Amino acid sequence: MHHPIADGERHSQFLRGALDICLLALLEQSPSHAYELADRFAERGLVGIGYGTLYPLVTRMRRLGLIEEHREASPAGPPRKVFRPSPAGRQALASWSAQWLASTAVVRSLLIDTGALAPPPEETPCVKRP
Amino acid sequence: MREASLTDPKRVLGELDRAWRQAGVRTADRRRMAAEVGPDLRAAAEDGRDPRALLTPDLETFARRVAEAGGVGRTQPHYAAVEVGAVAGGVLALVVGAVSAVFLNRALSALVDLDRDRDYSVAGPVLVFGGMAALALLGCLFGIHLALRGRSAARPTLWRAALLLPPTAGAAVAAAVAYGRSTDYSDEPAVVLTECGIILLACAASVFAARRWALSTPDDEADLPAVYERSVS
Repeated sequence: MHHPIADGERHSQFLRGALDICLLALLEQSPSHAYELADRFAERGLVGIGYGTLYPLVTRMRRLGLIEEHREASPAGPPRKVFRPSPAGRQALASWSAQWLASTAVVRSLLIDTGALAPPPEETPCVKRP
Repeated sequence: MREASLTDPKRVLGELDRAWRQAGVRTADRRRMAAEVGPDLRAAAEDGRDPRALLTPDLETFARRVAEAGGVGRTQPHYAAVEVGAVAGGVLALVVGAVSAVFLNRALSALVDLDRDRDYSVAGPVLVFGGMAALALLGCLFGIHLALRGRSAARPTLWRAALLLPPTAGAAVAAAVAYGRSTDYSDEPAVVLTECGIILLACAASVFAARRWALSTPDDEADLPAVYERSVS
């Protein structure tokens, strides 16, 4: 049965678990300020992640030493504060990314084995136990 | 081109500042956060977006989340808990010290027979009373530590109490002695209680001042938890 509202909530729950990893990854790719981050998330297909979610997250991660800030010259106006991962943030990104891959691989394998998810054509499904 | 219906970024910042003030955020922290959010609001306006609409889900919730995320929201002072902890710890330690001094005196008296006709240095009594005072101070600080365990500005409060208590207690003892001298060192209960009250009130005021001083200074980064919580609001 299709539940559009429930699907939206599920989607938010999934994103909530990966938001910090994605944030660190985007900042590692290119330091930016919080306003720009919302557009970068949307460009990657992660829509619905607004400034109201991102700025508090950046604030918390900065407080915990995972993100650092520096001033960058702005084409118009005074220098802007941009954020990038700290050394501790880079370590966290590497660790959490590995955790994410491992977790999603386990879930994917389970879904394929139980028939909830069709395997890609190149994969051979596991033999089901009696 | 900016639409006529867009909210002025300055007005939005003003409302944010009001919301942060209501949340108990200090002036320096409000200014710092405004300096960060302001350029983002102006950038949104220049892009033709409503700056107010940026602050999802609504301005008040955004302000509260930012204050919580930054650890700069209203801090509970817990004055009553601090005072009770300090007094209980100090009094308990003093009682332990006094009882120990009595037992030590009896034990030493049994071992050493002093010549009654000779004058002895006051260093001994000074050492005993000084030791009891030090013990009371440590008990006080330990009581504060227990009362503020897991609460904000605990360590700064302890350091400031350790700084303020000794001179305050010293001055209070001198005042109590002066009062006792004025009554010819009477041992009437009312006089003794007054002398104790002078010392107790002075130390309580000192502990209150230490807590207030600790809360009025910026958050100590060393108080932040060492482990990052993966949950995202």
